[in-house]
Amino acid sequence: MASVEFRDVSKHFGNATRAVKEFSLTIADGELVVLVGSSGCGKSTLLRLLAGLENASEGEILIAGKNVNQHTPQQRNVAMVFQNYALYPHMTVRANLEFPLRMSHTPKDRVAARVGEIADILQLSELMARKPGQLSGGQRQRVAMGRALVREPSVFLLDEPLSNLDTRLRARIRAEIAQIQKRLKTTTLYVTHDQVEAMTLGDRVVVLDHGESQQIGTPRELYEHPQNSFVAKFIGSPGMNILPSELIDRGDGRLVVKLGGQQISLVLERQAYEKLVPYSGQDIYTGIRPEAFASTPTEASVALKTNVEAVEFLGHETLACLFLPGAAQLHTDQPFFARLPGQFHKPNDGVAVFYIKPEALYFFNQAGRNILI
Amino acid sequence: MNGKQRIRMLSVYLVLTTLAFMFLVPVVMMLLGSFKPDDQVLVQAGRLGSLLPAEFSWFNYQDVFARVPFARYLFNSAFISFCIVAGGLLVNSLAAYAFARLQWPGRDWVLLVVVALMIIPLEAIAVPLFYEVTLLGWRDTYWVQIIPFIANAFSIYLFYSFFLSLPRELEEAARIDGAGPWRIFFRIVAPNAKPVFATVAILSFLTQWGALLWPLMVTHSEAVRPLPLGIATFYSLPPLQWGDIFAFGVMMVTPVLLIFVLFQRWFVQGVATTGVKG
Repeated sequence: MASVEFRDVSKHFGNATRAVKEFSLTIADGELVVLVGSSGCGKSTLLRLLAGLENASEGEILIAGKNVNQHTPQQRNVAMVFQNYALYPHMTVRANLEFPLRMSHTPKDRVAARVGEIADILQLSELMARKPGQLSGGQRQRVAMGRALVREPSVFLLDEPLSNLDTRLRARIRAEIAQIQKRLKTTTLYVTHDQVEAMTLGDRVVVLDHGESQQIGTPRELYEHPQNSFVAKFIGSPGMNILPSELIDRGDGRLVVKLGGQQISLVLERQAYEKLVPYSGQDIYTGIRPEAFASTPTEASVALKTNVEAVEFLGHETLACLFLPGAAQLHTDQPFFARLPGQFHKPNDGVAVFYIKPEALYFFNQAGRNILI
Repeated sequence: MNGKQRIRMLSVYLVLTTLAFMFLVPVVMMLLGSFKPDDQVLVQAGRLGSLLPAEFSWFNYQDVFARVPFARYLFNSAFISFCIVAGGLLVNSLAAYAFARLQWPGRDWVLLVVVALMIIPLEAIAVPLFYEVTLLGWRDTYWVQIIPFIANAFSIYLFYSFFLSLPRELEEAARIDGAGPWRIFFRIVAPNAKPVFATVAILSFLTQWGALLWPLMVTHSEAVRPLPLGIATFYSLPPLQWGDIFAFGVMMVTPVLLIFVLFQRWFVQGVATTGVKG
């Protein structure tokens, strides 16, 4: 077990592509950190850098406080689960599990004991004589986990380990991974493109975009206090709606945000007011979570008139795809979503009024930074 | 199946059967002829019914052993082919792995040269090669028939393209598990490359088993001469006995068939990606 640290790590491939830019992160001993981002954002590269499969172009990587830049994967004592599992097809499950121990010249009785132990934990005992080709996706996944855990690595790396499984199995194995990680307390770096996986698994989550860290925080921090519009849009399903808007200072110590043709008056604390007021008279972006819409008014909520474009009934909830009227005046002609409980029917005239609380609004400047943070 | 399809199928099968027949007749004739007494081999050769021997006899086979050192030729051919195939599998697969996976300066240029070498036939380099082995004093040995043929551009290229198609993650997983490049090659890559090993083995065996020109140039004693030279010598040895020649031919072809049957199992075996979800 060990802590992990990335210090201003960059990675370029050739001269043109910079896969990772000045990335810094500290992972505490026993912590599970999830790297999340869309494909090509550099998350797998970071994992491979830590594993020693790639060398950092700049910066330092430390495991247990020691610089491992020049160390081989074996010397780093990391273990990795690959997206396609990378089980050795010509070996049985037992031989697959034994392989890392044999490579480190572990005594035979110790190999047998350790493999038996891992097989018990992962319920693989029945499958030991089979070859990977004779296993189901879920079983292969467990063997891959077993092979990674068998030699008690100081760092455990998982590269999209659930992406080849169907939705139901994914939820189950996600829970299993969380459970095993809690039990073994192995420092873990987990890569995924799926924000649900990131939110449910991670002690902390790193959101990446174009090789740069956008925000590092607990799932709750990312959801409630996104540092920029990228994180706001990425976290949540669907993510936050970001609408072009205009901020107007009414002069009486109150601010109004203009969304399409409608105005929402903001009730703000002193601190928030002072942060927002320099942006008055400017175009900014307003963020509203799909969950923030209600179809009935509540205390201190304000009404927002919308055109309902489409309705998706999902059983326990309904997603409504909306437009703001008055779109012609401002560039608010992009659709956004409201997440509504139960059944919601599209009104005949297509116009619906929703209620939102002004404090549920987020504001981002032109560069996408959250103004209130 | 409608009428049109049926006619098409029938005509395809007709062509295939004719071709198979044409290819098989000489082989069958050789096999059956080898069991006939010499004076009956060419009797009524134009009639199908005369193909079957009136009586089976092993006489021709005994005669071959009596007239030439067949066992010596057979051993020479087997030894030379075995050394070339075994050495070739090792050397060419390792070279190909270095091209496919290792990083070293000038790699792509050297690969280009290897690919270019594929189009140069032995006939084009036979004379300079002959001078070279003469200078080395290798003539009339086994080595002169083995060493120049171990490294083979075509084999390297076959291995190379197969290794490129192996999932890289397998090797990366082995690296993380603590295996070095040699172990990765012998424990992970090679066992998953059986089909290409079988292909290269069969192809190089076939080429070597039938090699005539080079042994003819560099050997002169029976002690090191292989089968193709043996049969050529035998052919020119009076009296010309077709039954004996057929028997010689059958004995020369049988090992080739055996080798093919042996390796063919891996030949058709699926590619080594079963451990990787595809």
